[in-house]
Amino acid sequence: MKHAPMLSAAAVAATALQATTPAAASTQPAAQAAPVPIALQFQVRGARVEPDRLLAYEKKLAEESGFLLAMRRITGDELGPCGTVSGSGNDWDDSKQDC
Amino acid sequence: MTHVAIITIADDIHAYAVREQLARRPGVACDIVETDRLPASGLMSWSLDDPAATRVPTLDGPAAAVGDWDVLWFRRPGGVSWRPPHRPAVPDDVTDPAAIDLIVGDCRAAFIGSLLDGFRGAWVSHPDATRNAENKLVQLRAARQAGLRVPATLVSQSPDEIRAFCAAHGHRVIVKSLTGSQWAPLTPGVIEPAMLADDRSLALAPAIYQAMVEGQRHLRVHAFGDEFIAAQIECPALDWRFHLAESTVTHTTLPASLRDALARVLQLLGLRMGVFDLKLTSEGEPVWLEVNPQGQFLFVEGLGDLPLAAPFADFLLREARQPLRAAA
Repeated sequence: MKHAPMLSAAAVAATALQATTPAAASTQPAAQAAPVPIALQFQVRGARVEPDRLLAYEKKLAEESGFLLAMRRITGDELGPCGTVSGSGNDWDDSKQDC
Repeated sequence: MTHVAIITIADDIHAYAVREQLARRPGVACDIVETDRLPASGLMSWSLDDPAATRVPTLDGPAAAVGDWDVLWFRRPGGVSWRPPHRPAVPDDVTDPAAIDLIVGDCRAAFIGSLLDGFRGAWVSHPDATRNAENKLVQLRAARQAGLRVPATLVSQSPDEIRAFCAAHGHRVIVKSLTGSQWAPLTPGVIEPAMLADDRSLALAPAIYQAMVEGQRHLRVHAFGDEFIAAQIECPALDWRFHLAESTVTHTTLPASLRDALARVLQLLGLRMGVFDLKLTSEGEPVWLEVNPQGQFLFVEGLGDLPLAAPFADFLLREARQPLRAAA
């Protein structure tokens, strides 16, 4: 898997995905450790890896729609949360109206 | 001429793709409004005496009159980037937290107010309906009312009730957040019994506890008005979103009963569109997971050869040309 040039910034460096592992190494809190909400103990680690097929589709779409051209006007090296067809960097923007 | 407006944040490839589709159709104009770029634009105005003059800045023009729009895709209206520092495009030299807070709040309030007051076309979907439908509890209730199979669910911060629920379901229970976090990408996870020992972690905030639905086949159903386009996503992982490289996406046809039930959910929630997530049991029975009032869909087009941008553009135009419907 690799990231197309256009998405190199958006999709973050393609590191191996290490998802769905509880963030807390132990569920027995240390004496002074702050508690962590249980839902926060399941964090996605590492960047999402997008299939080559999806990257090719995104690249074509970006070229056809003028998105790629628009991105060239942007300084900085990160796209926003809706900059890919599936998510944002290592996260997923699906239902966040205020994202 | 039919005028479409896409309300979103900057750099949204979905918006560009749909605008491109709309441009291929005759007699259509499309404005993109980037809600996180309203600050410092100097272009937004509303007047009590002249509501027809209400204007907001657009991506490609100085400003557009909201009263000219026929349909409004209310996609990402919040005006705040999800990426830290979670704020709109405030000038770099504005660093006072109070100023930033005021800028964010006032831009959002003026923008939403301008739409609510001056827009007379079709919402996809209305802000009130969208906000309500985002709530998982409201969704779950609607799904059950619509006759869908819904997993046994507890939303709680009571350690005793959580432990009892997990025990009752053989500790095959997943936990997930009600809202997620802007600061950390989260995924549903299977609770291990040892995790239930920490009362403080359980009691901090309610979470969604659900009996796990076994299986590897998921449904992603796109409802664009009365049109339903469904994909099956086969993935060995619990959460396919972060395992697309291991997933197979194919077009599938819904049974009429399922389609009717999902349409009923939309109706109950007052939504004009929705992207549903369901899971198939090993026997093939669909089980409700959630609806995303403004879910992403182009990744399904890219992975499943399933046309979605074009049908969505056609849907927007159908909405635009319908007689004004009552607000949801």
